[in-house]
Amino acid sequence: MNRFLSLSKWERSAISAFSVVLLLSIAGRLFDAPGLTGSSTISTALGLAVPVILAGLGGLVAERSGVFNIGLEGMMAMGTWGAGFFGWHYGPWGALLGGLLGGVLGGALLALATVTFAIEQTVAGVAINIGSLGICRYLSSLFFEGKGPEGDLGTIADSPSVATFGSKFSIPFIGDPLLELENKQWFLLSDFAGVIRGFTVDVSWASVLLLLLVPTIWYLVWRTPFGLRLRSSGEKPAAAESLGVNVLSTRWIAVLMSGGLAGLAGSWLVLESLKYQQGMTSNRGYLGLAAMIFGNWMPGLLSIGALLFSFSQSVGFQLGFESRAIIGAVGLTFVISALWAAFTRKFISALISLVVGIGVLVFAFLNETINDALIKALPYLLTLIVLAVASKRQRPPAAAGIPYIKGRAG
Amino acid sequence: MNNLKKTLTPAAIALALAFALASLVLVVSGHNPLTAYRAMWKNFANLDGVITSINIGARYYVSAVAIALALKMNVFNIGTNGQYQIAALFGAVVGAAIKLPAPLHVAVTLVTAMVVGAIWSSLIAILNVTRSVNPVLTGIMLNGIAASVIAYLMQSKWTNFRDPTRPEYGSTRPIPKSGQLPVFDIGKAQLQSYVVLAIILGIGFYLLVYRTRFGYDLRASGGNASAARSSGVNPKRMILITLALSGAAAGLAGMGIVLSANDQLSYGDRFPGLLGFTGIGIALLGRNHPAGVAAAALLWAALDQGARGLVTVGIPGEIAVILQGALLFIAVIVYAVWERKSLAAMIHEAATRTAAARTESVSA
Repeated sequence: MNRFLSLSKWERSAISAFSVVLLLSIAGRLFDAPGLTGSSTISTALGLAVPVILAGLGGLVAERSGVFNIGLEGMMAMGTWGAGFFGWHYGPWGALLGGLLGGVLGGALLALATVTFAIEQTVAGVAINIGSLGICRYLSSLFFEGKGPEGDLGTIADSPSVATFGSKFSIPFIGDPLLELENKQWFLLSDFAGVIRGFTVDVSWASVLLLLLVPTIWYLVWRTPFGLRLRSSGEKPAAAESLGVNVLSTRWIAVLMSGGLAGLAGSWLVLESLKYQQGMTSNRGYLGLAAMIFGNWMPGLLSIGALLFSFSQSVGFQLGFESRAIIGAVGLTFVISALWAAFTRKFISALISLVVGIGVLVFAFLNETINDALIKALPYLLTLIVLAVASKRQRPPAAAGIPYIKGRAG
Repeated sequence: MNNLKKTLTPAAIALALAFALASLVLVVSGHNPLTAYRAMWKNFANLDGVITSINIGARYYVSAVAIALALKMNVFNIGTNGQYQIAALFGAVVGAAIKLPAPLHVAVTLVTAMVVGAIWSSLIAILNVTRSVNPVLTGIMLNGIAASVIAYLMQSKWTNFRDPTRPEYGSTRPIPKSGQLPVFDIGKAQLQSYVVLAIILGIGFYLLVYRTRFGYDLRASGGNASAARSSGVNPKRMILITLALSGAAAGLAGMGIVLSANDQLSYGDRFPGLLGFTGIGIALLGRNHPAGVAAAALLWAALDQGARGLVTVGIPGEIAVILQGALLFIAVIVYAVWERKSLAAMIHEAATRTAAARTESVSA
């Protein structure tokens, strides 16, 4: 383990990615479910991950500046409304802009309450989540209900159709050879081909554009003077203020950005469903927060957390044995960690992991198909397991969640 | 008296501001606010309107108490939304399956739901104390898991929860007469005796939090966790007990819907799915105080009731939701500003008094 940790970041990522694909391809063989690493599963997962990643980034920017943003869900909902309205009138770019505006507006509400008036942050966020429901429905009743082209009328719960970007993005020249390799069903090689193809071929332009925000936010927060001010406002605001950082305005900007990111997640949803629908955010704002905590408040790890979640969701959509195969993969993970624990002489945890792992594997072997309703719980269950394993090593920004009152530095 | 004035003034300011904001929204969208408020008032201010508000307010209250109790020690039980649903499902199933004399039947049904709610919310506490997982996140994940577990139990053949005689409801079997809560007839309206349960819960909440050692520890852990720990409070134990109690209250809130005679006396597809989140808003509006939360719950239910009258004047009923959201948002701001101001006034007063005393002792 120590040798692994002493490797460089890139080497560690490569080894982790390789082991995940290896694990999935073993589970795929074991349970006769080639779709587990198929390009369609992966590309669905990538799509589903985009709004969660954006919400997570929104949570990250706010929390790095010291504001816990549980209002992401409401801001995303306001984003979906804005995207629906502007997208209907001005096309896909309008949808992106409209989502951004809706989210920023939600962010402004949160900033006003938590930064200017320094009230309890959870409370303000929850108020936004509750209020956004009413705002969206009220606006829909004014601007959507009974309006729009013939046969495509809006209602109180949805907008008229929104156009999306026409073509899709593919990295040139590699699609066909990868597809050929994927169809050969060679162990590991075909699995890799499927995974790579899922990430690089036929990705929607909205996803590509929005995923570029992951490195952008990383650069902004960790490599610019503004980012330094932002992080210091979230770690030790009093010290930051004594060095001339304007904590309040930094937090205002961060929360506006946070709302904007959540709103863009809303744009993505609208561009994907081709219209605004009430409740289309379905907890993705909260899932973004979970991804953020999983990712230890770092953009890269956060994205991996969101991908893990959306992968298990996307497996549930596959028709074959994929859902039992992913449960089998979870079982295998437990067995492997049991072996590791035994190797490091932690015999009690080894025994527990082994029993759980074998139990899960037996369950997967006995049930050819998993009930539709139960498979929907899998992403949540996996997130909980991962959080239970990872949470103790987390380090949130020190001042996150604490309202700051100007002049505290004395 | 002075104390009451201190609490009511900010509440009144918040209410006035919220109505002002809602009026602005109405004017901007081309409606007359006075027409809207008159229609809302008309739908509320009659026997049926008031009794309905009280009936609905009672379950809002119970679900808000579940939140408020946990918030007393700064634990945010966002998982009540899953807890009340899964508890209501089991309460409804057990209530329909058993045969017992009336009071016992009701008691067993309620206790079942409360135990299920407590178990479901204890999962949050267990993951928090053993693995330090953030309770808000566990709560959200468990809400998702609860939804699919319920869907599974409702459709599975071996549980056989669905009532085959009423497939159109997609619900469990109805609870027989002996398992129902009695209803008081007041004129043409019906006051549900569930209201009494809500009042008892409120009194119990007050006594527990403000009149017992446990309540003192609870508030101490919420106020200053490390000080509470050094005075001998076991934080892990406090979280386990508090969340179990909170989940039990959530279960009772769910039974408020199941056992109300107007619904189907069962758990089904039409079961309301947002009571937990409404409870959060109400608990915050009522500042987690037993009486404050009660006032907030009644106000919230009255706004709901009033909103149903808006259809008659052609104004979208969603304005009531905006009003509720705005009220909550403005109220928390006003409370916070008010509190800080009175704290500053108190410090100022103390400082002047000390200064005065010092001058006196110098001149003496």
